[in-house]
Amino acid sequence: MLEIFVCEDDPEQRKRLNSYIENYIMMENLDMKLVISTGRSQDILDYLQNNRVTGLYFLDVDLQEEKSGIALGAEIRQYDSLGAIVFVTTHSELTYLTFTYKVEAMDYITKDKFTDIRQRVIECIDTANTRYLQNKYNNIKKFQTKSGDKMISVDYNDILFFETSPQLHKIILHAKNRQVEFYGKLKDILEMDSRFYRCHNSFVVNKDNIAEVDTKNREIRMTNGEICYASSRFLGGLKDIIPH
Amino acid sequence: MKELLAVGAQMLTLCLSIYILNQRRFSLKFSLVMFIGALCIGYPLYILIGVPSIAIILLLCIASSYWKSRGIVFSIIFPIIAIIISVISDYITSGIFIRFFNTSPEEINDGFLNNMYYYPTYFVIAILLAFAVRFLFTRFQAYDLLFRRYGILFAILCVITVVIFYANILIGKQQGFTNANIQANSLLFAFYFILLIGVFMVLTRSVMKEAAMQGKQEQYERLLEYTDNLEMMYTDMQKFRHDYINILLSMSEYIRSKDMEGLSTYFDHKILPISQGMQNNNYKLGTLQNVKVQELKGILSSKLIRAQELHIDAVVEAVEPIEAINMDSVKLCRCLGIILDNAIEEAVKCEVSNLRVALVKRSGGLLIAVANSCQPDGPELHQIFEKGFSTKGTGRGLGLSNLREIVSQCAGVTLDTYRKDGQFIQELEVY
Repeated sequence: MLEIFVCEDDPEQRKRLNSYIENYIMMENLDMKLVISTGRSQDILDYLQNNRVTGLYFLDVDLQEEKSGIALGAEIRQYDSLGAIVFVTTHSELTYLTFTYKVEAMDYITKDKFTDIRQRVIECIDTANTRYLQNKYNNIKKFQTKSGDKMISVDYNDILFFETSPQLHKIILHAKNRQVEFYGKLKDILEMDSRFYRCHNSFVVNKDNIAEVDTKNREIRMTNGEICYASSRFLGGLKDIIPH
Repeated sequence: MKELLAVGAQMLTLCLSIYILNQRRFSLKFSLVMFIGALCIGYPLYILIGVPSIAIILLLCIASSYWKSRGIVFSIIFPIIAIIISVISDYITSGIFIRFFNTSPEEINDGFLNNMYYYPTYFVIAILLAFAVRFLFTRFQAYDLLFRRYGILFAILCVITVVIFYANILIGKQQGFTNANIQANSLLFAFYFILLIGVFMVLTRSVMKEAAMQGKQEQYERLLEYTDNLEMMYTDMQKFRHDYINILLSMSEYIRSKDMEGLSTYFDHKILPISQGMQNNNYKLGTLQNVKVQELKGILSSKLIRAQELHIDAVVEAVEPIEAINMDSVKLCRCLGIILDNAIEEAVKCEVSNLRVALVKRSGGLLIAVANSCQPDGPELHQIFEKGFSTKGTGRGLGLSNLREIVSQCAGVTLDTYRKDGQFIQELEVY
């Protein structure tokens, strides 16, 4: 069950949010429950300390206490890494990316622009629900690695190849529609999945995404047209895998 | 046999030096082909016309370098430097052999046994020199201004040096070398080489200074733009303060007369537009005040103001104060410049264009994220990172490949580029 939390210090607005949420859950008969609706951030944190939950959080950014909604979101993240955080804010659009990067917020709702708040709340509940169910039932395996504070996670199916950068220990991951750098070792990556193959001293390729192998020029063309290089020493191992 | 060995050793060092100097631009295979070609042409020519044959080999090397790399200045400079290196290391080796092993020059020329030691020594010295020169070049290559401005001068200087060296050798050949002769020559050449490097260093320093000055100037201009922007915002604010009292007065008038309808039309027509005005462009850069790094502030404000002039919805988010950033500021500005220019270029083409920059402090460092709207049917991601790729035809599109190059030079800086939900996002993380 997905548990819903609301932290909003204005009683009027809190009541309104509560009614939107509860009505929608009842109407659609969703497997959800509004657990806590409060003006004090500590209430939510206390609950999280004692219970393991996956939640949906509606947080006001400007709380009338020292802690801002963003800081609260960051603390919630420590207990509930999969939860969906939605910010309710008057700062219209000025901090959207910050929400995303600070606490991986799912969405934000603006209060001032006379937007249809009810509609936005419903949208957020729906997205959180689909995401929750997805996580629960079909666990798509993802390649995950940590780079500083950042968690890089890419579907194994999307990975084309890894390449070492001239900078020591830095690796560039080439994926469909993404190129990302992180610190690590090719040797460790090789061990993470059986699809990976060391085709060059400085390349590890995902065998599933090879379109063709040009043995003459020692080039591997990936499904999206990108070229990965192979060395003659490692080319032999590819021959048994890929039909030409 | 003796000539073959001599020519072979020389060609091998020549081609290998060119390979080393060119770093990753050439494959080893290409250099091997070059070596074999040079040997096939050079050996018969050497038998036929002697020393001047080197000029033809040199032309051959230059031509093939040009064919491979397309950069005229470097394809002249590198082979010539390789030849200078080979001549100098020849002299150094002779010097060593004469001084420490008491070998006479005739022995070096004739004695086959000595050649066995002579050529390896020569080879090692040449390769070491090539690496040293390459190190110098990589140090200064970041300042491409240097080669753009003085590249031709430098090429001419190199050509003249080679001519002088070989004139000397030719004259020496005709008159016969003596020990003293060779030692004097070695000294002279070494001196000349040091002089050349000295001139090069002085030149570099002045160019670097100039570049720094230019950077400062640009930064100053950007900050001027930013202050203009701030002043405009301030005038807006004053206007609003003036209006504010009036608005309150007229509202209280409506309330006193209980004219709800009048109040509601007044609200719709007078007050709502003001709230929209508050979301006007000028305010979207307001959070830049939190950026305390001047260079960063400068480049962000100038690029975003330009974006707004192109009617892009450009916003900067900097919630926390940013006092320092752990990256060379020149490189940071170049990276951001490239990222923002690309973002603006792409965003302009979209129907709903937006550009969003966020500066987010993380426990380990700073994250700079740039997100812009992009066309749904754009080119594949890896294509835009390729050198020379551009949606605007050839000769452009060094942008993103340059970006990758700069980032790969910096320790503790990583780049994440992806496309998601119609947004093109670049995240530069500095630890």
